[in-house]
Amino acid sequence: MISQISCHLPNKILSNDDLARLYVGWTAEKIFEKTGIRERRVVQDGECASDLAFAAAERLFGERKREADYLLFCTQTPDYLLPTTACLLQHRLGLPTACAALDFNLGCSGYVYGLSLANSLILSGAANRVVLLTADTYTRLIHPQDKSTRTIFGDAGTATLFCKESGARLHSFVLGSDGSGAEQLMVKTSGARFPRSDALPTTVDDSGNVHDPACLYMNGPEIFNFTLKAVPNLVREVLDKAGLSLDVIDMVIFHQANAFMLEHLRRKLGIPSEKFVLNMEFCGNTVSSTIPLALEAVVKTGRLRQGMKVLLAGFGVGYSWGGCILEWN
Amino acid sequence: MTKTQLIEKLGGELGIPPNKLSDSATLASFTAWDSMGRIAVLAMIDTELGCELPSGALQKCKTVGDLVFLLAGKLES
Repeated sequence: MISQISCHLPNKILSNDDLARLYVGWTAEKIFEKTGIRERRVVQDGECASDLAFAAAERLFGERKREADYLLFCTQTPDYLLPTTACLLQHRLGLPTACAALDFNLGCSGYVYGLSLANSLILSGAANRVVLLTADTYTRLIHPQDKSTRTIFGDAGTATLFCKESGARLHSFVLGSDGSGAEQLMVKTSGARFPRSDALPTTVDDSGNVHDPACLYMNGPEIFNFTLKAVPNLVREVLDKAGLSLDVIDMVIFHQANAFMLEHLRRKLGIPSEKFVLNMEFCGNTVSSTIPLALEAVVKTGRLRQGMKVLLAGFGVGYSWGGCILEWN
Repeated sequence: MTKTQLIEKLGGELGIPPNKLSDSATLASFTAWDSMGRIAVLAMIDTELGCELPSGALQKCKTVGDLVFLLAGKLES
């Protein structure tokens, strides 16, 4: 059960003013209107996802390091193809060698998948103290002349501690996948299928965005189309599984993709704005870290209180999606 | 929704006067027909017509007329 959440953002800021200076005809306010983002935190040269996860986890642990017996690390930008970055983090964090450690490769749905894994490990008795880390450095994958991704994504790391005895309860998980959408959000030459030595052409789209096969490609309209189909079903299925109606849900936290998309989904689903969390203005879309960042924010501001029921939903790259209910304690 | 109303809504989303949105007008010629512009149009179609487009359908639309043809079954005559 979730007992603590801690997050870390890199120091370097990429503001809308910075981007407006680079892109002719764009203004800082136009970027904000289109995305709901004013600035993103981005890593500097040599700063890796494991560094962000480490900083978040260091703040979390205190004296409880020796108790950790399972480390899960959600990332799509690992330090190496091998070894597993979670093993490096086990050593760097000073966790016991009896601690299991594994990476899993998911993006925007990754936190909910991580919650389901951690919850299952605790409930099955396989672990007593699970640490779920999320971190990504998507900004290092973005071509400087791709406005469609550079205006959206930021970097972050988060850490969530699960304890068997106490904490926020999780239930009613619904998970899904549809690999037919794989090419809509992809780094084409990032693995074995298309090695970098293969000469795939760099292209420029109608809006002047440069698409290099070694960089992140996102087909925003197709991703939006996917969310229109997947997210309403996901929300309905989670509520059905929990035997709850939207009326008794106190808070809804979706993956913070971009504000326009979320506002449309909110209206489509009839979620009151006072129950809906938007938390991307000063950090951007941080992939698997958006939901824990939003949770940390609502805890800090006192908006999330004891006994509240929260519907969480993550969706994106894969395609992959997941949702659940969190009862905060 | 009629075709005229669709064109008005499309113009509203893209910031283009409806009289510039003839059937033969090329969508890519409008600066606003970028990634976020197409997302805004998809949201408008979802809200106004209650329909989700098949994967890749919007990408295949080259002109305003292509888009109208795609949605013809949902429009009032």
